[in-house]
Amino acid sequence: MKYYQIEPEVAGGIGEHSEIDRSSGKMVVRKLHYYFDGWLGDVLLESCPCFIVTEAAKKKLQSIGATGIKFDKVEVTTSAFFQDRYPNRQLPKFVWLQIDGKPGQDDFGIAPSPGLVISERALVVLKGLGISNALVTPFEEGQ
Amino acid sequence: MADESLLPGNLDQSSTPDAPKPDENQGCITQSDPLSSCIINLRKSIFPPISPEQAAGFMTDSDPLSSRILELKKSIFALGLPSPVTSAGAVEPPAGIASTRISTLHDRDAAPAPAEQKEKQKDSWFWQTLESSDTLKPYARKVREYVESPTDTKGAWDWLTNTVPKSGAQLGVGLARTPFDLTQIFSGESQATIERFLQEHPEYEQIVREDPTGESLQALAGIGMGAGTLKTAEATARGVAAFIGRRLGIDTEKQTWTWETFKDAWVNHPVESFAAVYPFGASFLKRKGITPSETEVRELVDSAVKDEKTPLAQELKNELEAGPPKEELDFLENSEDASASRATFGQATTNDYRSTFFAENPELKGEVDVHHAVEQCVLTKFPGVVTEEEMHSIENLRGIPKGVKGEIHLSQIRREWNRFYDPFIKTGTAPTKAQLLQKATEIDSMLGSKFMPPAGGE
Repeated sequence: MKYYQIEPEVAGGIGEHSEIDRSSGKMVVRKLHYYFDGWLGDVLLESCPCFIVTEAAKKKLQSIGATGIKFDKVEVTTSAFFQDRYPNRQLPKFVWLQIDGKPGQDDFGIAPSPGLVISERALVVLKGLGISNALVTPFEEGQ
Repeated sequence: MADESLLPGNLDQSSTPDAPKPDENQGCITQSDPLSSCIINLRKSIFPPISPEQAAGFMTDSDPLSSRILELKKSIFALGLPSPVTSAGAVEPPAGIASTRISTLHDRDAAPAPAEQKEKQKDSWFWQTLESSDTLKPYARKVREYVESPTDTKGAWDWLTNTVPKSGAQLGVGLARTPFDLTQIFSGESQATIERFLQEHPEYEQIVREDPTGESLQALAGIGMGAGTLKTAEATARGVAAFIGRRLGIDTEKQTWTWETFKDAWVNHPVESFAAVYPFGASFLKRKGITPSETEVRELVDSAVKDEKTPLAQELKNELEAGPPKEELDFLENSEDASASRATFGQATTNDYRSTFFAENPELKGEVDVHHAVEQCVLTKFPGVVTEEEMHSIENLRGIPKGVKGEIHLSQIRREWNRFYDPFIKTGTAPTKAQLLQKATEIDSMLGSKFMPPAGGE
């Protein structure tokens, strides 16, 4: 199966209601608060080191039995900038996409350098729902 | 018994007919010359005395770099090139010099907090030396931001080589950058860092493979052999340090630094030196308009092999002896203008940043939405680096025109910042305030003309 490196749209950032554990010396997000600063419409979004997807994307990925992922809830808010700019915009429901798969093996994985790597079938699902603002490049083993 | 002649530091270059005689060049380096002082101090900083026993305390049985170099060795041998070390026995790398480096690196690993590591780097002799010179101070600030940042090195390097195309300055960067890269390689997140390093510097392997003199090949193979036989990070580090050490002027046998060793490496063995200290080599090639692609590297190698006194080598030699032409340092005179367009923080008196912005730019009300140059999420991702007063200060606010174009630009900006955060988050470190402002400056220079009022000096 082919795999792809994907750099999702970044619609905002990790908000102040997030719970972040730094006891290991690394940034581990225990509870995610994602604030939107804008949104071009993609169903998969990132704010390093976290990813979120729409509820619709979650259901679709579950339906194909996508591997290397689990879901959790995310608190979504909009920034003052977002409210100024898009006063009438409604956001769909999002969930936290947690990735624990191996790149090039599971449908979702995190490679050391390129970051998020997804399988062709996962890409097809996401493309069908809308990820036109993501940067997608072929992923090669050993990358 | 190890074949010590195969060790990188033991490669015999003394038979080179045009190699400079020791007495010829000693006068070229003086304490009064900032560049020379940097070189002298670099040696002292990286290679202070330490016994092999001390270094042995830091040995580990498994290290990602060892496996990476073994992979390198396999790929080199797979090319069908001569493999002078395959029949060699256990390689005993030279003790002392690299052990010191290991000690330093492990000490860094043992430091309790990344911030302290950064602080140590910040206060090193190198910056003190550069910043002690009024002439070099503005340059030092730029270089420090570049050298201390583990991210976006390509962009920073491009900026430096375009803005500061001075061999003297590049030499300083190259010398500073190499120990920085080594530090990154041997730090806790070595695997990810190695991957990143090799991805950022594919020409490093490329040049080594294309080197028909075999010296680079031998050196790397020797490193691989040492790593494979001894299976210790120390052995690997010794090999790397020996390989690079010669290009820094260090005689690994005598454990001494000499100008003639340094000069011999660069003047008479430029290709190998490019391979060993890629950032410096690449910048020099770039100045000459040479992109180190496979074809061009081959051409360079061919010309270097035909005549070691190639124009490239000769020019480098001239500049090493005489220093960079004075006019090439004229950029320093413009440093004040440059700083005027740099992103900065001020001190806000309120967190209501929109009020702050429109009080300063009342005519823009209704025309723009107010955004932060250094993003607000920095407060959450890297607490303690920036204060709220700095975050919401007028200096950190940008007016983004309403409309679709603004939306696309904002998306670009967020992606840029996300890429910037990534290596810090992966390594459990945090950017410095200077690094954040440098990134904001870059973004201003890219998109600042779209802002209202414009930012980034456009």
